[in-house]
Amino acid sequence: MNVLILTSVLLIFSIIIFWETTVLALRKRKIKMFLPFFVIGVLMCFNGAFTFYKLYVHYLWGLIELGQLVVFVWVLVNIRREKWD
Amino acid sequence: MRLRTAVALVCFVFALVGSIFGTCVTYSVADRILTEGVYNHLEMVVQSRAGHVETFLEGRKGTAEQLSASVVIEDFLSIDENDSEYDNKLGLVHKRLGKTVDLVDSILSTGVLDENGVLVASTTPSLIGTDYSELGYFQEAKREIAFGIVESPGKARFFGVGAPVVDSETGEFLGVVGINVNLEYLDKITTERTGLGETGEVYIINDEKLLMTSSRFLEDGVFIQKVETENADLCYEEHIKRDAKEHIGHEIIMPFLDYRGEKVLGAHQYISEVQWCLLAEIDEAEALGEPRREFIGSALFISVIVIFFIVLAGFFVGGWFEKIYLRKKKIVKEPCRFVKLLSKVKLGYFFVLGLGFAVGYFFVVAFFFRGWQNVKFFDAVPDLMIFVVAFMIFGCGFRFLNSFFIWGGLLVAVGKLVEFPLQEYVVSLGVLEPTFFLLMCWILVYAMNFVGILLILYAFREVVK
Repeated sequence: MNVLILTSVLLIFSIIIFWETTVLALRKRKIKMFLPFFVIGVLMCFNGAFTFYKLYVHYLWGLIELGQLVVFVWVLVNIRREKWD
Repeated sequence: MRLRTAVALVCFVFALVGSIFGTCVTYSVADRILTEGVYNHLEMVVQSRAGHVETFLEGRKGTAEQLSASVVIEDFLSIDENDSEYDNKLGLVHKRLGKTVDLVDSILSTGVLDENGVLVASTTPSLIGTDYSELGYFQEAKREIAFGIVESPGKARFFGVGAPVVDSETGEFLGVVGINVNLEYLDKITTERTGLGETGEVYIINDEKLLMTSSRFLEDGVFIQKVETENADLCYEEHIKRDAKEHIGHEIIMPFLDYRGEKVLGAHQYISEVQWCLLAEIDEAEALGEPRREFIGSALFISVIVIFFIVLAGFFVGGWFEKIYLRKKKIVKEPCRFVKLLSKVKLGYFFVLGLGFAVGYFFVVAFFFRGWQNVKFFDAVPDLMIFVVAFMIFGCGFRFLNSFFIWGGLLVAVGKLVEFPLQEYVVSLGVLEPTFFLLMCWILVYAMNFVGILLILYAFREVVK
């Protein structure tokens, strides 16, 4: 039951992120800028799936963390590139 | 950023760091006290069981001594095989030996060896005539009472006690009296489960480190299973180093792997009379796992409550400061001095500060759980690097005066700070099925991560033209 709750939470979070990212990307017409958020949504889905199948394997955890790290670096690079100040 | 938010933020960071350090220190002290308690208990167990074993051995030694002083056996060994009285005296010896076996439960058989080591009388007649001169303990028993392991015929498990028979008048060596003691009587002492929980066990090994008594986990390990553990090594090494006749249970401070490969806590006692070691061991998971789990659970719960109230207090105090500040300066919607200061800080400094904190945090948390040597770096490093990057996004928020970036970066960073010890907790205890407590913790971590990402996304909505 707990596993199911955790999986559902992750999937709901990823769906919200997908939805918001899609809406913003289409409204601003800058898909490249919002691409990292799609990736983070996908990673969340994978995390949910691994949780559902009880794949508590260290290297899978590591892979997801690594993916998240890449995404956050990507976001930081996008912020720096825009020079909003 | 408003002054109120900044004060609450500072309070949050201080409360988080303070509670982590406080919990770590308390945990290490509590863990040490708990471990010492387990060791003291194990030491008490080994001392009392070794006392029983020694009393048992003393009893059998006494039996051998009594037999060796028997006039019947002395007379029998003094006469020649061809003497007419030989058969008569042999009968008397057999009667004497048989009586000893009948009277003492733990004795399987007894026998008399002549000066050349040949068995001349025995309660097992089929063995009469066997040459035991090469037997180690026969050589020793020529001089004094000796204990030794005898190759057992069939499935019988026993050890021998030999005592020299000498002529009471001339002191001439005549032969040896040997008794075979049933090892099952030692099992009765060592397999008593009182005070040892589900995984605790007491067993004896000989000087070749072979198991001598039944094990709780092995069916047929006696004289087969070799016990090459730290506990066994220490027992013999310390005895040799000290060159002492006897030494009492030195605890091993760190848990070690037992003969099954399980992590255990243990104590030992050397039994000098027979050069055996009596070892008491209990699984670390059973002895310390549950109290540790309870402590961590309570510590996390208390930390969350404390952090919440400190942040709340910071929020109100910040609001009060803000009111005074705005009234004095009559400034409306101007970022406070703290925010202005942070907005001038270069992103590189945020990187260095975040990295320094992450490395320190990593060592503290790793020490708290399994020791930094045992951390899986390919998992821990990305976690901490995400913290550093999120902290830089937080820094960017000040530079661009965008509260979405500030809160988003902060939430992701703090989420990672909470996630790292949580992962270590799960891995160190090997919890596969998340309990309700773990479920709540994971939801908290995922929610912080999710809200953080969403805020960063909204920051993009505000700034992307």
